[in-house]
Amino acid sequence: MSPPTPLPDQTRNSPLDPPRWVERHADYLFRYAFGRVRRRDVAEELVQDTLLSAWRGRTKFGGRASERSWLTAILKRKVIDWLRATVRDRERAGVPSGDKTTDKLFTRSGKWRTGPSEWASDSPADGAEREEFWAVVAGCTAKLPDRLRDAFVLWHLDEQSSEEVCRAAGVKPNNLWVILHRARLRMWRCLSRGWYGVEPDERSEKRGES
Amino acid sequence: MITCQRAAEWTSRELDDPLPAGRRVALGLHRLLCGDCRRFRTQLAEIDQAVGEAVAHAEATAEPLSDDARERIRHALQDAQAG
Repeated sequence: MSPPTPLPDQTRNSPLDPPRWVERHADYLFRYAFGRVRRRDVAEELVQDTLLSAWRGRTKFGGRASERSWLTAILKRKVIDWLRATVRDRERAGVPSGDKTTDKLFTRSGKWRTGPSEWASDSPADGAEREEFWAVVAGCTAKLPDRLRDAFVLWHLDEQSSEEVCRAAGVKPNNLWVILHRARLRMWRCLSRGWYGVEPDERSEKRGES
Repeated sequence: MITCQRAAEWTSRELDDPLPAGRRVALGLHRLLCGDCRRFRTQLAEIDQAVGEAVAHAEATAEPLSDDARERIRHALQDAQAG
């Protein structure tokens, strides 16, 4: 263990300032974590772990990135590790063979019950409308069952090929694909209704969530 | 001819990894004949991109850290710094 000496000023921009980490970055880090893991207690724990790891590894800070990006990069690894473990544990418990919500989009013979309609609006490029769009996307993501959302977020966060995502998480590729596909179909249904102004399954009789 | 349900599944898989040649051909043929599935592919790709960006912007909508948690973390860090 290196002694807690003040950090040298060899950093290119500004040196780390650990006593002010909580005040300066804890809210930002918490939001980052909570946006991805969706559990307050887990997000709090990940922020604490991140700051402790950062403190222990403070001599590795090269000063090329800002303090905040450096801390965020540490947190990102921890969020990914947590999602991997969660996805793996759920997969071990078994992937449900069907998904009533997404199966309902198709007839028994595998045709679209109601084909994808032309979307009424585009995804907005910028401005206030873009913020509104994020809110709708976030709302739809929040409606996904945990097992789908966690896998979907992991897949988007990990920035690796799905094979690598599977290997790292210890999940069978086929199971991940099934999970991702269900997540996408649900997002498609939710966004088609919530933002693009069409009802993909308007002809289906029941609309209960499974 | 594959069904639309199967085509949707492969369209999703195609976003993750390249499909094996046989499936790629079957899916291409299906889409050539099926406007619904052509449209679905465009929409799904758009959604995937939106979700990717939304994950990256997720922090914008979350609430701040609670005061209790902030104090807990501050103490844990102070303990570590005191060594």
